[in-house]
Amino acid sequence: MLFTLVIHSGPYSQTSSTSLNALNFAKALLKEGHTIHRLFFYGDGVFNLNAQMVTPQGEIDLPKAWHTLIEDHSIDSVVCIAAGARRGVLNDSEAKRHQKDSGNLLGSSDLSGLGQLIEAAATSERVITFG
Amino acid sequence: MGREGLEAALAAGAFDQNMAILFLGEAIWQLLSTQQTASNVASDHHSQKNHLKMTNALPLFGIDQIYTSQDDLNDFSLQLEELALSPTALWPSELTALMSNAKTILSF
Repeated sequence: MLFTLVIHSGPYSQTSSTSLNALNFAKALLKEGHTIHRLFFYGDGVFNLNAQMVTPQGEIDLPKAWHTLIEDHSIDSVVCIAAGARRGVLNDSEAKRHQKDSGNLLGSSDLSGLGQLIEAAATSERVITFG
Repeated sequence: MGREGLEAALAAGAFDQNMAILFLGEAIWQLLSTQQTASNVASDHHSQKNHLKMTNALPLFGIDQIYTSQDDLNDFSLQLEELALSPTALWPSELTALMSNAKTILSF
């Protein structure tokens, strides 16, 4: 089945376990042979792909875990560009455009608009929101 | 997530998606037209800009199915007449029916 996951919660927020749930759900989907059409990071969810996070030893490194999952399975991953800009999650070109020192978007995720969420909702058989 | 949910709704409207919006629980306060926020109060009590103007734009984007929950209104002692956009108040069974008829539900 074709799934899209929408992630609203970030690491170290009050609902950070929700973000971990989303990650584990995504892994379980792939393990069961389902297809992930897209991951859409919205709201505080954009922090999951903040490359500047330094996770203390022994704690779960959510950005790293998401990054590994996305790269290993070549998952289409989109970070909302407006939600990211508000919260300081930018790629290099956005950082330049907003006159910030450097980008901090982790890995190959796209910074893109809400159209990607709408398209994913229209295309996928199931859309699951976390957070 | 109030404002960002609204932005998603407007985006869906721009893509001509057939949709209904449900204001449930505390989200109902977003429709209270007497709310005072940073944009119209000269104090720093609130750090957020009021997005009721944006909410009021929903019909312009072809989004005219606006609902709320009668139970939640009762919980907050709010009257339907106090809310912007004239939502339709639904009972739990009606809410369930509306949601089970939807192909996709996005929550914010």
